[in-house]
Amino acid sequence: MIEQLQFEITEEQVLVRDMVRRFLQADYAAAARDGIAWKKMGELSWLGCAVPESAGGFAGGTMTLAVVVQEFGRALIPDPLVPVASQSTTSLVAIGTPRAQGLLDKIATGDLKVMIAHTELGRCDSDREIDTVALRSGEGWVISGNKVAVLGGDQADAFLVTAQNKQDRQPSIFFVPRDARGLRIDSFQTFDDRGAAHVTLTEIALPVGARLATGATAAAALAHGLDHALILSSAEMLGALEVAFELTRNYLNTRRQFGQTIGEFQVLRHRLVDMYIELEQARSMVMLGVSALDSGSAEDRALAAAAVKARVAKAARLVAAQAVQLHGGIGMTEEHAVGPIFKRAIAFDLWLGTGNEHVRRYAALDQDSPSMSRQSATAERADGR
Amino acid sequence: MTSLLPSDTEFRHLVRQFLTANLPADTAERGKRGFRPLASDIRAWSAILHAQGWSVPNWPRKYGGPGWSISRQHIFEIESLRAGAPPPSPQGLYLVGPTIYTFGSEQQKQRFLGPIREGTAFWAQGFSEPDAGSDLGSLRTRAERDGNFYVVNGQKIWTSDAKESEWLFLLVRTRTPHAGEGGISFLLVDLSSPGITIRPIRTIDNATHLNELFLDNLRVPAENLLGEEGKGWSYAKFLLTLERSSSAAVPQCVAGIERLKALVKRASHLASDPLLASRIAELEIDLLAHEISTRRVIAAEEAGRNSATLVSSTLKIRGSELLQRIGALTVETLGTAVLPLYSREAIPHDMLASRPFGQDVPGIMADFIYRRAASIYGGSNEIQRNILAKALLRQ
Repeated sequence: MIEQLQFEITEEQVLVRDMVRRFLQADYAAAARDGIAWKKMGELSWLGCAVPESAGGFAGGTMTLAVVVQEFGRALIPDPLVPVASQSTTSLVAIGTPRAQGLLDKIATGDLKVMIAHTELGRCDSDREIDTVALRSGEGWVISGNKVAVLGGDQADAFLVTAQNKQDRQPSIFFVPRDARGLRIDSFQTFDDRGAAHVTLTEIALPVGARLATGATAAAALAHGLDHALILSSAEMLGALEVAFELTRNYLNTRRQFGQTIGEFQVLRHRLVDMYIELEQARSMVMLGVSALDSGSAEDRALAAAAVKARVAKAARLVAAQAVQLHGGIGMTEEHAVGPIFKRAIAFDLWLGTGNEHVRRYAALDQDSPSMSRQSATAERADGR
Repeated sequence: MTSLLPSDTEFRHLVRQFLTANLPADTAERGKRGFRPLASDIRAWSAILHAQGWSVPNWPRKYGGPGWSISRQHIFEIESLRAGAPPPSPQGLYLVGPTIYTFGSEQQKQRFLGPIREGTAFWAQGFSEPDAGSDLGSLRTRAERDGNFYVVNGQKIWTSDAKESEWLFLLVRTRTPHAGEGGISFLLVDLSSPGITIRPIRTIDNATHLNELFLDNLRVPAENLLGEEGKGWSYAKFLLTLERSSSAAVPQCVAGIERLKALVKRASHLASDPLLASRIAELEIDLLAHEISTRRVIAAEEAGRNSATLVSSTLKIRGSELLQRIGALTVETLGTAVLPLYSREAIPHDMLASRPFGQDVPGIMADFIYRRAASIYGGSNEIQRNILAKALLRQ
């Protein structure tokens, strides 16, 4: 059960929001051009927000990070904030070893961009099965496998690679630096203008300490990072959807056809209202998700993350598609913001498992699901219990 | 697609044989992977079709058509898409060609129909303006008579393929300041004339096939007026009805579902997924209803019961919605494999070539993004619903 539901952001978080918005409007472009934008984000303490109080972070950090990424979404900033500051960071916090802490310190200052490389082709992001294999060899490890579509992987300094131990078939997380021998990074630009990479590992030799976690710890860390990123990427999407809605509202109030503003046509008014309703459902789900991350159990987090992703993806598909539709031809152009927001909405849906995949995950996780009780009953019989 | 419908096996076989023997392999590969066809591919393929007498399937025999029934035209289109053949440049074949043979002078028919049939002349459409989109009747581009010429000034937008085309059909206002739909005329314009500036528009499918046109003292010979001066609106309405009917998009939907099913079969984790199978089946049933509705219209038209205006709006709405839903499910099914940015010339990553979806992927995403426009172009679906409501309520 989630202990405490948050419905509002604090005054302090409002200040953060305004500061982020100002930075993105005034300073980001120049900083990005000079290649120092990421470092700046570290200096402004945005990259370490997800480290909880219990691990040396500050209270309210999750909501603060949500506020930051929401602003990034509003401005459609391509930087991989969620992969690093939410997913990798949360997994490392869950691992909790001194080695992991050392990496977190560097992530927070913007000196280390590290991405989780887990998903393999033909598998979904929440899949626990891993084809990549780790072999114990003398004083270290040898890893081989393929990872696909690592968001931000083009600019990663290192990867947190998941692999299955050949000997005991347990999942593990390895720290693999970008310059590791045998690591091939096929960088590409995504259709929504972000960087990503496919990662191929061919008999990469790693020291024994490269294995950050294994077994239940690794599985839990991976799950925690995934759920965190599902919720934070939903917050990022929410920001973009707000803009899509605002632009559409303005357009309906200014575009004239047939001698009146098009906002006077009832069918378009109602469509705008449907967009608004979906936007608010998405906002509520992000609030729920952040609350679950802050005060829920691992089971709560998983169930909430699946629900948030599923619901926000549905809202995103409607709001973004209708923003394009109501803008007409201009909505199909790169010159106007709604088209790129539509592309972001599709990319959001595809990353970390589609909304519909998370509907299934929700059904599988839900203890009260009728099909689930059947499954567990069958499992119990099989166990001979 | 489905085994329910009569398939005209003999004709289908004939078309398949022709495609196998004549469609260049590289062109076919591009088509099957969802890549946008190159203009040079379209021209080359049109010439091959012309030699066979198949380049204008929808035209009457009198103007060089093969005399196929409309269901045979559909079979031809479906088989062509299935084989990866480039779709023809639509503005000449489906829009201005039939408008010219219906309303044009003998001299205009002589001059313009041949090059469309032979694939040597592409046409572009000059209808929409920045302030006249859904409200097309309020267009402001002016044409003033000067001896044997019209002098045209104004601006057009959303003109597909303007750079690749030789000719432009253009709606202009010949009587000013008359507002509304009276006083509009229909001109046929040589795109190489001085006074035309073309500015490409970059669209979200990473393409520049749409353009803005700036017309500055463009001189059009008076003999290039279609029909009568001031009656352009009725010709435009005729043409827009043709555009909507072709927007039923049954062949594109059929080919889209087939592609989706083929992709699913190639990936074991998808092929064994009952939920996905059920979603595809639901789409296929909706498409079946749409296809039968389209065939009913065709049958009525062939029997001379013409309800084209009303029905073409229904077909356009449903066809565009189905195209978008099929695209969305395909993209969702392929997952992160469709993330790479579309590149028209090359496949960005050979790394995935040996994987289940191989190289089919980037064109599929670009096609899906482009299809957002299907509910906008040819009169937005909101406008189509207004047309339908007005007719149903007899207002």
